[in-house]
Amino acid sequence: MDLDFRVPLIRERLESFRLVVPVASPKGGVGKTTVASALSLLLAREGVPTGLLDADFTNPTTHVMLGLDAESITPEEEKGVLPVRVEDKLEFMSPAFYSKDKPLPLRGHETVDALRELLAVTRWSSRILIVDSPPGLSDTLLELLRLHRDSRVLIISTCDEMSLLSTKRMIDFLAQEGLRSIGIVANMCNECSKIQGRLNTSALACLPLIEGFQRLEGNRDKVLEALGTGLEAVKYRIISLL
Amino acid sequence: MHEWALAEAVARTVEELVVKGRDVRQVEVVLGELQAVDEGVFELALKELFEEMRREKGIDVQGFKITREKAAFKCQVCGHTWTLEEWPVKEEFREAVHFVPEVVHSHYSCPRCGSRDFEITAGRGVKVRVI
Repeated sequence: MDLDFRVPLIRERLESFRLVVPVASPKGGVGKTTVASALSLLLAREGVPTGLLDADFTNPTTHVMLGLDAESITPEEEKGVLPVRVEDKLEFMSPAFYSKDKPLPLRGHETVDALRELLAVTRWSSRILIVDSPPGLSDTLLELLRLHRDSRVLIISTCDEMSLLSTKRMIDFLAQEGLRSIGIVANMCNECSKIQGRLNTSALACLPLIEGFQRLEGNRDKVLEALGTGLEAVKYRIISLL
Repeated sequence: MHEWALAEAVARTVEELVVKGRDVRQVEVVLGELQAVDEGVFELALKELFEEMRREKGIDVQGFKITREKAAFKCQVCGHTWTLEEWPVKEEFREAVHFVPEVVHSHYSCPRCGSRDFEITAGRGVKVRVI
């Protein structure tokens, strides 16, 4: 009998968190990495020990938002690997520390294998794990939700019709699977009422389109300055669940 | 000592099987060549973890054996097949591949056509067989 020997240890490691929050969206380019990074910083600076995992294996970019040079960082090895401490209360792990910002073309089962490997060997010490996941109902997201059914998904959506339709599909999927969501962050939206109208639920946070936001990428203080206030409701919702 | 985490994962798996009522007599651990796990360190860690399991939880694994599997690859683009012996990963990238074997796709390519879209057909990393 062949076994995936990593699964029991992964479950144990994930259960050590008070909360696991995959940041997901059915579409690309709606701001998952931005929100995952800003929210992690917000929680960490509030004093909550926070772990952030970039699980977008074929295109990891969270380190860019955090202002880290993946080329020069290799996580420390100690009975596994230790996530990189970005700030006093913020730990971070990314496949980019190993792929060194080169292309990483992975087929589906390889993505799952890479996710399992990283989850099995990374020794977190935080209370909450925020996971920046790739777009769509990806192998990575499905595997994470399989491994930890208590995860609470934070859905990111823009307010255009295509994104709203896609978001509705994701909400329906989570409901059918009996999985829970923290809520929806409407990003780059000027009319958040569209969320209510189309999805029959209100957005937990509504972030406007910020002109020139790209210039802030890599500057953690500026990222937080731009998005922190807008994400307060998400922060308090998460803290209430801890 | 990354090997410790791999050994810990094996021990947790055995423990879970025993707790679920499975009679585990022998464990075979297959070390894939690509991940380049240090066999000595891994064996020492696994012995220590099994001993801890016996002492603290009363779970007694009679023995384990470690075998090795050669790494092999197949290009998804041109169909070429090769082994690690024939086309080694450069020394500077081996540590990264040791931690996450899939990142071999970032640092290695098909020796015939140069594509990174290849399959690891054997010898990726650690596998466990319970007897």
